Amino acid sequence: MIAILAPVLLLLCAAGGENRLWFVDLELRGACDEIQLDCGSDGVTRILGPFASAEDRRSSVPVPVRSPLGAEGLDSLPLPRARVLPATSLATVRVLGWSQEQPAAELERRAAPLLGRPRPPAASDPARAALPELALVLIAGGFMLRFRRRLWVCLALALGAGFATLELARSRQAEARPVRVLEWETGGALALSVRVARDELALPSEWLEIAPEGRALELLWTSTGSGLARARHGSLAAAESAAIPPLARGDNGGEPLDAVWTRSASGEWTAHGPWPVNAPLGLRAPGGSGDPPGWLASALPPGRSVLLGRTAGGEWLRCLGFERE
Amino acid sequence: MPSPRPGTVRDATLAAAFLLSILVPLGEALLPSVSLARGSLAALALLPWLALAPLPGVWHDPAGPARGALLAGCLALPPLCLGAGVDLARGADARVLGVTSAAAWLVLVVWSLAAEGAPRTPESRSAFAVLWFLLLPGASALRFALAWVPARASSAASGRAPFFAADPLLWCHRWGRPEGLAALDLGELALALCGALLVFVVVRVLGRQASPERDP
Repeated sequence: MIAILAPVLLLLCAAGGENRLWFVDLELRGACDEIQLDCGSDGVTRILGPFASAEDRRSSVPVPVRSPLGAEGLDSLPLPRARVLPATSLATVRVLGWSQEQPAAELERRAAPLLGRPRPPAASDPARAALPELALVLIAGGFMLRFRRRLWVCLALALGAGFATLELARSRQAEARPVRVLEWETGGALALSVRVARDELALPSEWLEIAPEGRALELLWTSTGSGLARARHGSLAAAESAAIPPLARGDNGGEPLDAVWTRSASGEWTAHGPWPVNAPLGLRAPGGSGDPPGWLASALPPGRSVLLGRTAGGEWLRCLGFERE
Repeated sequence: MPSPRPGTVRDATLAAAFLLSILVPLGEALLPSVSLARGSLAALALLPWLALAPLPGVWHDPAGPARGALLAGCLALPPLCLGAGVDLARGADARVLGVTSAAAWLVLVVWSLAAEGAPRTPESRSAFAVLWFLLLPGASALRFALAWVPARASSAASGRAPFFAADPLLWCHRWGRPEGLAALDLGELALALCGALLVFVVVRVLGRQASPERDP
């Protein structure tokens, strides 16, 4: 019993989390620089202006509230508090209510099994020192050794160089490496494009998650409809519906793939190597190891055939039910 | 063969420590695809200083022990700040890092003061040599041996012996490991400082007992 329950629990734990992208209707009249929608401990949405004095608009904007019951539970949640910046501006802003159309609810209805798939891990290169601060340290060290008999000079150099180096080095940012996976199931109506990144991610239009769950989120939204989601030391995942790529065993009608792996229903993995456009899937890559990336191949349902691939642009594909025979 | 001037060997040692202390951030900057440190870079910057600056010397610096110790402290400061800055950029807790780095810098200066003052008399030189051996390479070797050959059969034993923090190398290595700066361990920090102060006081007392004629 435990042997059966353990993988199931593992799958549930690794699966996607709660959506943090719900929409409210907003009414704005007058000029201001920015509108903030305060969602308490859940986070804030900042709508960036400037907005002109003749502004009189109604729009649907995203807020990062938590709704454990999904779209049905929104009505029981308090509406975000709206305020304009600067506080001295004469603009008035009002949250009218939850938007009639909630893209997350629609996506959940159409692609619930795909949303339940485990998310890829967010990767980032840690911050590292750059050449300016290293050059500063080396120059300061050289001067200190040159003037080693004059301690006051050394002390001044050490303090000055130390402070400047500290400020320069602490300003370095970790280099985020966003990961994108296209998930679909053979015979399904749509695919799910999942993007994962640490700390910052372009705002999706349908679904947004953060891990660990419950962290505060900051959404930056512009009047053109684009935006950013930010979370300190969090892993962000965005999911959006996409078209299923035209891949069949006999023909690649989509884009060229750098590497392809398949798994039979019995669990046997095969590396196929590259898969060019308008060509059949290769039988077996010469010298291929047969091992797909662990994070991509983990938590797949047993007893089903699978296709995993990597595009030339570095994006990943994961298809359930792909027949290779 | 002429012997080197007093202070020349010392300055060469400090220059070597300086270069070693920036080796890891320099390597990471020049090789973007390589990640050399998962733990604290501030600890890695201090480790060569703690290993080389307290090395027992032979010549007594006529300018006094403070000059050499302060020079070591000054030279160590920019690499330490560089490492601390990168640690902060990687998300280290500023309070824990600040207190630990300041204490480590103080430990370095006190150990350097003791090392610079030790050659004043044969007694202080011998005492420093013994204490240096026990508290630096000796304790490190013992800890390494105990970790390498598990002293206890039980796998549940933590294996963490707090008193080893009196060895600045071990202490620095501990907080330099991944998650080593997760919490401020004031006990270990105090032990590292006490170890350095003990050596300094012993050297100072034995150095004062010498008559001027016995000074080298």
